[in-house]
Amino acid sequence: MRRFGLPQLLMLAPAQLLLVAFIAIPSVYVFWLSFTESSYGKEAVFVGLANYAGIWEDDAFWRALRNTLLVINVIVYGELLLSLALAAVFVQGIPFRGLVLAIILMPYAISEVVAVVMWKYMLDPNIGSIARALAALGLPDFAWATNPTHGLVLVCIISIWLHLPFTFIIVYAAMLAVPKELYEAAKIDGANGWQRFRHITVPGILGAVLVALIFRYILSFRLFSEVWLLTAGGPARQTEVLAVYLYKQAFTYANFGMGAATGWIMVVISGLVAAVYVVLLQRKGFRRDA
Amino acid sequence: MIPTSRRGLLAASLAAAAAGTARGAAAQARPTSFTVISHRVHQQVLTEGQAGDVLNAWRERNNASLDWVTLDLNAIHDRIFREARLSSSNVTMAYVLNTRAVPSTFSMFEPLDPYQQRDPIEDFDDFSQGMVSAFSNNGQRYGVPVRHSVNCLHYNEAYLQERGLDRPPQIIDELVDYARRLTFTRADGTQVFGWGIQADNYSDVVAIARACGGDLITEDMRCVADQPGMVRALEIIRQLYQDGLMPRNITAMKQNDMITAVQNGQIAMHNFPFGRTVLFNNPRSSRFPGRFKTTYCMTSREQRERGELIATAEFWCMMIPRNARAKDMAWSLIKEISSKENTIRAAMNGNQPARVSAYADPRLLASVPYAEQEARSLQQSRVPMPAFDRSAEAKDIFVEEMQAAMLGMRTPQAAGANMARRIRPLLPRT
Repeated sequence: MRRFGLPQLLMLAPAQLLLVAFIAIPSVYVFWLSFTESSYGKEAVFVGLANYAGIWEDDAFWRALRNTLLVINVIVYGELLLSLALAAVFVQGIPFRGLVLAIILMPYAISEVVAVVMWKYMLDPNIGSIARALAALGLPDFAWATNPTHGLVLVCIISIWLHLPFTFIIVYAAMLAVPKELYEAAKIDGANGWQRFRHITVPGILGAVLVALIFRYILSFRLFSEVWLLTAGGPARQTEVLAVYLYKQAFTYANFGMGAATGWIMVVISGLVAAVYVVLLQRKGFRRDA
Repeated sequence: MIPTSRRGLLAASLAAAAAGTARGAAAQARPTSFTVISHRVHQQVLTEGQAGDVLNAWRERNNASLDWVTLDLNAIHDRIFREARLSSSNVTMAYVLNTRAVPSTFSMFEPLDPYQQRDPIEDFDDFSQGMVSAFSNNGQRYGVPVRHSVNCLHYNEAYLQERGLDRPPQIIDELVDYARRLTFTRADGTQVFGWGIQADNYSDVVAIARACGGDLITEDMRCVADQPGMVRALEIIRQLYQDGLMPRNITAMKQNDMITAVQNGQIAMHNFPFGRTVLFNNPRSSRFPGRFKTTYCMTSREQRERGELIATAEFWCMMIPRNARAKDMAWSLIKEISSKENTIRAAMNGNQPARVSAYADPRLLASVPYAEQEARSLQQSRVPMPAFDRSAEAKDIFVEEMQAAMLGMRTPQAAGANMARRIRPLLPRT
């Protein structure tokens, strides 16, 4: 049996100390800040739950929350479906596999800022190459700058394009790890393609899929640069997401109390969402392997 | 163990002393560095251009070098306000925009009257007093004005000629008609829009509202966005957008996008600070070098007949953080930048001077073609919104409601009423 004593504790201590110094203490400070009225040049004053109450009554917060939940679900599940489809094709074997793989992974190597600016120019309704091509085909305007729905759709497209490689790599690796003998046995037993996918592939990759979902949910919740650089939350704050709402409170309005409270609300919501998947993972993934 | 002797110890001591002296001499020769936080343009107008490096003499006199930390608008203020909250700071001097000069921030900066009494800046009354008073609190001055940006109408003269217009618009009532006539597709396929505004900001629409006899927030801190002047301004903006006289993605265009669009000939007329004409006419970046002219049309017929014009202006002041380590050196630098001679030189490098007398200087008049227009605008200019602690929130509310009116999400009346209802609780109680 492995022992856990002082030497092991000392070896873990540096990493733990870093976590305490850079995550735990600032988090506690921000939690305290969320109960204060604080700004540049002012001493922080304790105001109880006033910041949380202010957020509760702010229509802009609810709109940002609704947009965030909508967008991250589209992004996370869009990425997952595309990853499943692509990985299923890849495991069958495709020509120029290395080249196609590099093309799929490429967006992950591009800076988010560069990627968003690039998309913005390509879809500029006056000079953008894609916008002009769509117009030449006689398709209706994709008015992402002035139509909030179009704006959020473009945010989803860019985000999926940028982060697809993360989910794809996890799902693809998991699919490669499913024993081939299982498929051969199922084939002999007369299972069709869908049955093989449903009863062999899905259970085989479920743990990895849940891990990918947890990470992507948590990371997507912080969605900022796509929205900020594309629409800055406009028009009329209709495409604002929670991270943009937080940024405005903390850094545009210098209202650190409201910013901190928004941050904690984001932590709690994303924690709750992640918890659902962690429980699922525990039940269907890790426990089986324990 | 290393063997030691009295002779060896003496030799080592002498060597150490010699090394220390040499290091001291080197340190004396090396200039002391002072940190300034500003926008890139502030550094540029003091160090580059036809008048050369304005601060060279000061640096040599004080054996000093300047470490410019140049950032974007929000980042400048975030950085300096954070620095100013520390117990002490390396930041010697900072440039602060008038919209951030709110009562709560003054406590983080040094009152400048004692410095002015001890070692005065020449002819202080020559500075625009409106700017000085905006950076004063409880009878103390906290900032020295250094740069302003008064807006005017920039128009592409080539397009006016192409469309058979022999003069630019002169009053606000002509604006929509001119925008309509200047919206067209050129023979080379370029889609030209008659007019552009900064739809993520408030100054253009506030100027239109003032030309229509209204305002957003008055100088005595009353929000009058629901009054006919602002509602009329929102109607004009809405008409310009709905009739396709402005770019369709105007709400997502940043200032740099606008500048590029004007340079490329996609926008025929635009309100911008006077100084932008240099960029619009730059042969290296503009498709119409030398064809952009300036005028003012933000005025009603009646205002024009009375000789009035509507100009909005923002401005920058130099401030010393209260926790700065080198406050005397900061004042020395501010004094140097603010001298009459250096004000002219910086203006020749592209700065918009805060000294009124600069506009009478023959060198400036000869080198800056719009100097007379700018001087006249400066005399009658007002900030688009007075500064108060929650002005950033008020600005965002204005932009939100203005965009909603422009895109047809709300009527101009409803948008104006919403602005007033939402902004009034943010204003300081008088």
